[in-house]
Amino acid sequence: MKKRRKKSQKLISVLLAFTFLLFVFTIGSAEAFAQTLERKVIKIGVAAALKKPYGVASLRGAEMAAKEINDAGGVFGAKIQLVSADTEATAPKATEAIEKLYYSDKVDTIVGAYSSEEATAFQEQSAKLKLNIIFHGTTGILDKKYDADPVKYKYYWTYIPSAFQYAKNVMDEQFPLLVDGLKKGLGLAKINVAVFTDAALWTEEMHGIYIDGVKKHPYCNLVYTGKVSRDAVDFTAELTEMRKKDVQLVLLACGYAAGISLQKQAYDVKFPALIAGMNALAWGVSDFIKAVGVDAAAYLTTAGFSGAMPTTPNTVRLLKEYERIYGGSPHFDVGLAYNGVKAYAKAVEMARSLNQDKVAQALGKVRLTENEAWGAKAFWFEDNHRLRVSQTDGLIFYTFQFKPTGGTNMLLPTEYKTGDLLIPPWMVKAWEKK
Amino acid sequence: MDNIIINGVLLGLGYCLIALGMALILGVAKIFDLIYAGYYTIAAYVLFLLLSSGLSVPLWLIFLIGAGAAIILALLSHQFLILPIRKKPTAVMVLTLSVCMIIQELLILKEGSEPIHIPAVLKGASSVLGVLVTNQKLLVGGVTIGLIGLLWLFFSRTRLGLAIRATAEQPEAMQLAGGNIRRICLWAAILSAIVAAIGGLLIGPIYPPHPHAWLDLLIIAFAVMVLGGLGNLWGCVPAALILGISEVAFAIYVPYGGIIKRSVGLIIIFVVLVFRPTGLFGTKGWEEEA
Repeated sequence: MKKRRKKSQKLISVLLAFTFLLFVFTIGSAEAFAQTLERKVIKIGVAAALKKPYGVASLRGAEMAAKEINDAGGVFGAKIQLVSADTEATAPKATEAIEKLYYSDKVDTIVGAYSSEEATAFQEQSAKLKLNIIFHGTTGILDKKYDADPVKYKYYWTYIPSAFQYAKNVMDEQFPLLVDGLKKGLGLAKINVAVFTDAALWTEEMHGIYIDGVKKHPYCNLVYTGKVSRDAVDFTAELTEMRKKDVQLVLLACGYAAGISLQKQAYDVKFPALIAGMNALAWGVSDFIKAVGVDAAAYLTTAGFSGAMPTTPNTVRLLKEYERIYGGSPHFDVGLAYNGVKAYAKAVEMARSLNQDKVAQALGKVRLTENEAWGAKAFWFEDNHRLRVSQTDGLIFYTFQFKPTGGTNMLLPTEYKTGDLLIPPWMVKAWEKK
Repeated sequence: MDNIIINGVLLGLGYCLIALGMALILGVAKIFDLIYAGYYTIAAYVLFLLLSSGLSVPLWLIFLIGAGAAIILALLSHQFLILPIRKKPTAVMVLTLSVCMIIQELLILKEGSEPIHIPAVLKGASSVLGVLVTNQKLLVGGVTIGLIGLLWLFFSRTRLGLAIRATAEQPEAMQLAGGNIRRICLWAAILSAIVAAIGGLLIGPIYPPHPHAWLDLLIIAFAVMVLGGLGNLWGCVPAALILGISEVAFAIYVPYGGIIKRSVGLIIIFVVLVFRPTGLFGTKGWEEEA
């Protein structure tokens, strides 16, 4: 009897001990689960030309994303803290800004917007510092360098379409729509097209693609090609030559102040052609109207992407939120930076770590859904570390037109179309006379 | 050809307006007052701010206020910054360059770094020998020609104008004759600011002003002055026309000349300084007087 009692007591003790150990293990695991991250604060650096609209936009996009993530409890309880540095839109200052963020502020990643000249410097910095940098770099040089050495550049990610993608969208989607619209609107059999670009790395790439596309179109004549320096101020010579050659459609690739002067001067002489293509300054709708005036902005037709236009329901929500916090409509870089921060946070969650290699691996697999991303059906990086651009499962490209009464008219994708192509009345009059 | 002549001449007249005021202060006071670009920009921004304020101020008054702002900046900078170190041209250049950068940063803080829109005084366009040009450009051309005429009358028919000319040509003699050189330099600065303000107010609607525009303005002004002859006010006119016509011709006849047409001014500075340092109409010894 005594022996049996001793045995059952022993069994109960073992069972109790086992239960206790199981309990401790479970709680302990949860604790370990929650404390997987090395720190309680995740530092994200925002490096951009903070005196430029796209720099301010980057910061705002990052702020909106950080606030949403922190309000939802952070990443495993770790809060996001933003630290900014001004690149002053030059490569040397950009390098200084990145080094300051890395060495002094000890950031875990950097997001931001750069000119195409700075972008190559940033790609190099990501490799040198072995730091995940998620930024805005349009030039195709970034893709070529990554393809040549994917191991070295595995920490670089770009969340903006490439120049090739811009040009492809213009030629595949916008251009046919405009040619058809002008043929019907003006009663013409063929449209005379001019290709006009400014001289930046990314617009140079688009120039050749435009020319090839126009030459191949059966209902177009390529009658004029021109390039200007990106800070050119006077276009009277070019506009006069284009007018002499009966240009009806100008395909632009402009990213700098020249695009503003050209638009103003074309309006001043009632240039009888539709100015279309891609004018990057027009992506910041309110800033563009402030620079050229409502009248001169009217009828400019430009491709664009990201946060400026009401596309997906989540984008509409974010646009309203932006207006509530900052007033007005956002520059497109707001949406890009927002997506960059969100993607990073999700990658950290997936990696359960701030280790650069683990996060880099996770960034390659991260995917924001339509309900998480700004201006996209989905946000994810393709194999070459550039974001996916697609009307169905990536960043959405759209084409919109400025209306003469102010505001914008979305032409493409047809899913979000708000109106038909508007042709300037002076253009209709000019071609009626002919 | 009509395109080159008409657009080139109008562009040149615009450049002449930009350079005239700088040539004035350089010719009289022998001062490289780089803040000149600031007078132009300040006038344009004052115009923009008043137009967009919603206040119903008549346009002529807005123009006067814009010019007034430029004059005040010129008086203050010359009286307190430039004239005390007038004999040290390098120091003047560095100081005035710094002031331009300060103005740039203040404008960025206030209005951002992007260009601003100023509506044209004369809207629409007119055909000149078959070339369509904006009425605002024709206004600039007309005002420039009128201003050149007024300046000629001023310097040849008025006491102050003659005193300024005398100071420019023979400053020591002027001093010996009891002329107040400092006061004459201030008058030259005021005139220079008025010319710059007219430029800012009339050219601003054509080429949208922005905080960094001061550098472009200085390059244009220097190109015109170097070609015309440093210190030679009247040399600015043919020099500016040559520059304007060359730029337009470059844009049309050189394949993709639009990319480097802005460099025409810099190329001209280089070539003239190498082969004819005094400029097309300049005189030797000017630089010794400075």
